[in-house]
Amino acid sequence: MRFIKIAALLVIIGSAYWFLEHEQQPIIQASGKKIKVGVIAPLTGMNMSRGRSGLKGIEIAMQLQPYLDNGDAIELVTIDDQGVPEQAITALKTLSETHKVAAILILSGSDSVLAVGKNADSFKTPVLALTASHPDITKHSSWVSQFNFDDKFQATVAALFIRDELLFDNVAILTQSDNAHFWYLAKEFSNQFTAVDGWVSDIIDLTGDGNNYVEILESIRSKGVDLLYLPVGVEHIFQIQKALEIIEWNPEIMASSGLMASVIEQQTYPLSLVDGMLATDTFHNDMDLTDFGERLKKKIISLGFTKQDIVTHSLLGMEGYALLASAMNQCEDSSNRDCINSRIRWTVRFEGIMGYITIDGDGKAHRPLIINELKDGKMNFKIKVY
Amino acid sequence: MTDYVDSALFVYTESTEFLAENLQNNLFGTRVIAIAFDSFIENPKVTLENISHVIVAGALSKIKVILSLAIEYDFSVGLIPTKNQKDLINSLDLPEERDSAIELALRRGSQAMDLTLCNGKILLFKATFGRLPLLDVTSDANRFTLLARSLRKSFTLKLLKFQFTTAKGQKIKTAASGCMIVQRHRGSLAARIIENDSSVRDGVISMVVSSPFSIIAYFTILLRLMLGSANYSRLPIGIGYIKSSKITIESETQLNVEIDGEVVTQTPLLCETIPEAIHINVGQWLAQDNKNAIIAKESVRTSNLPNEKELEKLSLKNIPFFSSASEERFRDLFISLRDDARTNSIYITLMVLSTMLATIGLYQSSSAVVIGAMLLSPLMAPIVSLAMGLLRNDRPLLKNSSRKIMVGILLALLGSILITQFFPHKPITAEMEARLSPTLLDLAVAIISGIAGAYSKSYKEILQSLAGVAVAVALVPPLAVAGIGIGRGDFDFFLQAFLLFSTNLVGIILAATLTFRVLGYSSLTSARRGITAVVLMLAIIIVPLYASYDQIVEAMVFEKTLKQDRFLVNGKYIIVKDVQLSRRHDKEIILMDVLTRGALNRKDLLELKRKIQLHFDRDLKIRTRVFYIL
Repeated sequence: MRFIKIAALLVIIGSAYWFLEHEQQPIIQASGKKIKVGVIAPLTGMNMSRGRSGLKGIEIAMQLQPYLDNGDAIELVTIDDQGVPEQAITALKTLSETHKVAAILILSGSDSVLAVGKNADSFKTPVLALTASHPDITKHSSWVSQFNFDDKFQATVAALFIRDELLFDNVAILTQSDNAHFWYLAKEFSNQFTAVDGWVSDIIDLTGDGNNYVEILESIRSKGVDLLYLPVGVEHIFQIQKALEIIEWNPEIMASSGLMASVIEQQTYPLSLVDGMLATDTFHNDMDLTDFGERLKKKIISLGFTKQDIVTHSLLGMEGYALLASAMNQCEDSSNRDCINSRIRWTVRFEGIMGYITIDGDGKAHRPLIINELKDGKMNFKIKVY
Repeated sequence: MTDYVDSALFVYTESTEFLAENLQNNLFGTRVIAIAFDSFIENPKVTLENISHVIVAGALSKIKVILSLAIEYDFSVGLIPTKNQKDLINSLDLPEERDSAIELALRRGSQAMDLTLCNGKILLFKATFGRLPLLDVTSDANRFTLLARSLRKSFTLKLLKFQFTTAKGQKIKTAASGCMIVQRHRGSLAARIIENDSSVRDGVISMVVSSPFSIIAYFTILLRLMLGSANYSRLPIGIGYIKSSKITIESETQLNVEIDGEVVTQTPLLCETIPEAIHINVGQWLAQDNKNAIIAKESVRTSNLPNEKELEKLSLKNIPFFSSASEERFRDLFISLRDDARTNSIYITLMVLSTMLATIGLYQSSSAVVIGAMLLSPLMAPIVSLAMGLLRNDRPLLKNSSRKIMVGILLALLGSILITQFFPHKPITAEMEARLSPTLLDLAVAIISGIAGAYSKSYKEILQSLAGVAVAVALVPPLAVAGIGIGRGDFDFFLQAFLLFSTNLVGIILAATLTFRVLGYSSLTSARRGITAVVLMLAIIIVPLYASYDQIVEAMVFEKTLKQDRFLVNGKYIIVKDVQLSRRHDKEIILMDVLTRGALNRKDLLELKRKIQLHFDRDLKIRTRVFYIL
């Protein structure tokens, strides 16, 4: 009899534990109403890989959360801006006026988002820039918010990490002035590094064709440089690596955010191209996941994606969609643009994939930046900076 | 030079008739007359005229008939074993190969040997009754395989009541699962016990009695016999050994008796030895042994078997998994435990001194002084006594040891409260803080120490190890910290330290109780109530310990995470070098060492705090030590 009682108690405890472990999200009854959300992304052109990866992330997150809490379904309206700022402005207009979207997620680069920012006040549609990191993208309009850390933060951290932790005194910067994002990073890095008694031997602008990489690098080497800071695109990285091989020089290299994602997305260069480089990023490969991150991971696996399919831009797409949905959920009328914009801008401790994200009243995100070491297609964690 | 008999009679059975030709054509000059077994026993007297040596080959039962005739007609015997008569070959050291066996059988100079009769039946190698899994097996199979097989059988072993009476009239009342009378038997585990203590002409019967108190004890016996040497000056617990020229065996229920592999009679059993009753041609080893044989004295070694008093309490059910024993069996240990449970002036003096030492050592934050107090502390002894009291439901032992522990606790608390009053500032030292966050790991230490304590107490030769146990588990320092907590008027302080002491106390009691149980010290009557009480106490104590352990793990993860973090505060890069998270009064405090280049002002520090709280979602009190990068 005693045995039966103990067994019954164990069964009850076990069942309770099982139910707690398998607690389901409350089932949402569809209201029948559809809320349109716009997506501007470079789906063709030079930056199409970034746009496609980001859109894939948004779609995965949407599968996880297709309805708002009030039962309204989210419908995506996607426009390809080809990475061209003018087309991004046109897309903003179309989405705001024709499709009357409640909000826009933009996956384009800083140039496009800066252009959108300058026009956003006219359309009064909340725009959440998921990947663009130029510090000025929130400057021109109260309707544009920045979801990733900005370039000022990124460049400052890179400079101070190199100076105070790697203990290097002498660096050279190779960049491209035709890209606002890279150009800003180079300038800010130089300012920060020299402010802490570091010496920047060169700032080389690689814009245009006809660069003699071997000559440039030989010249830099002759100045006793410890590290190369490379806020440049993948094509330039490839050329620099080739030239370094030729001159048999192996300096420390630090690249800017999204490099690993770009190499993976473009599939033009081998992953070994970036082996051994340091790079700033939003994520790393061994991050501890939050509950939201775990749910996303399960969804990703259930959809048959592999780790290689999911890059930084995809993860930002997933997080950005979830944050927008969260903001819409906080509004009585989930399509009220004013309300959505205000909720986005005052997001406090939103649970992202690996930690909290806060967006202040200026539309700037406060989220950690990771410095990784790139190796075998993986981003190996070194430090996290808040 | 080997000499052979002039003439011999070969008695064969149907299966061994073919040997007649080999024998008759022998090369040793012996004239051999062959006769069938049935014809021979029809009229042995006539057949044996002028015959003094008979060679026999056939089944064991036929050989035994010839041996009984050998006593009657006084002839010597040569044996030709068949290949499957392993016991016969082993016990008489006979050759397995046929020609060698014929050569030995025809030799002159047979050896005089004792013959054992049990209820009138000839016993050549062994007789068994009751159950002795594995002990009586002579199989060539791997012993460890047999050990595994015996495990299942051992769960159904029962102890049965027996009375053995020797030739000198000594009566032994005991209980056993089975017995084995061993005569010229080699190979079995039971035979190993008497291997160096018997011969074929010692005039006595050797009987091994198996009385395992528990399954564990039974396996201990088997393992000791399998792995130990053949010299058993000290018999394993649960094994008895009787040597006498005559043994009468009476059992409470009638048991079948198997003699040389066949059930031929039942208890009661009378076995007696007829000295030098037969003459047999045996192998060289046995012949040598026989030359050195001397008549053995009667010997009764049954102190390891249940005695008459224990028989009254003995369960008739299957033997338990763990052993139990009467107090008489471990008299010295129980005398020592009862002494340990008595409160006396020495205990009080030592307790006061160790408390004083511990309290001062804690205020000094001196590990050496605190360890000295641990060594001086006499608390371990009554706790171990209490464990035994609980196991055996021994009320006087329980009462005395509990009282002694209570007195010790009160003395330690009072002593440390008083000493605390002499310290006007009552500082909290690192040694005190180390005793304020007990976790499951402390319980693990207490449990291991409890096992070690009970084990050391059980064996005099390792008693000195108790000092090490005392240091490991440290009973007085947590009590002193608890007293300091009362002295400071800080209930939380008292509670945390007292929780550590309680953890140690309960852990030791439980582990020592179970260790004594495994070692076979439990009483013959059940003592579940006491053990249940300790288990309940343990269950209660585990809850705060688990929570505390969880907190420590979480704190370690948090500290590790934060050490890899950096903060950019108002343009100043802050490197976290070291982090310690502690709790006081439900508040979390982090102590951080940081490196930075620029001077940090109040605004920077507040921004740092804001960032930490923003990203870690916890209300932290932050203490920062800043190291500047130059």
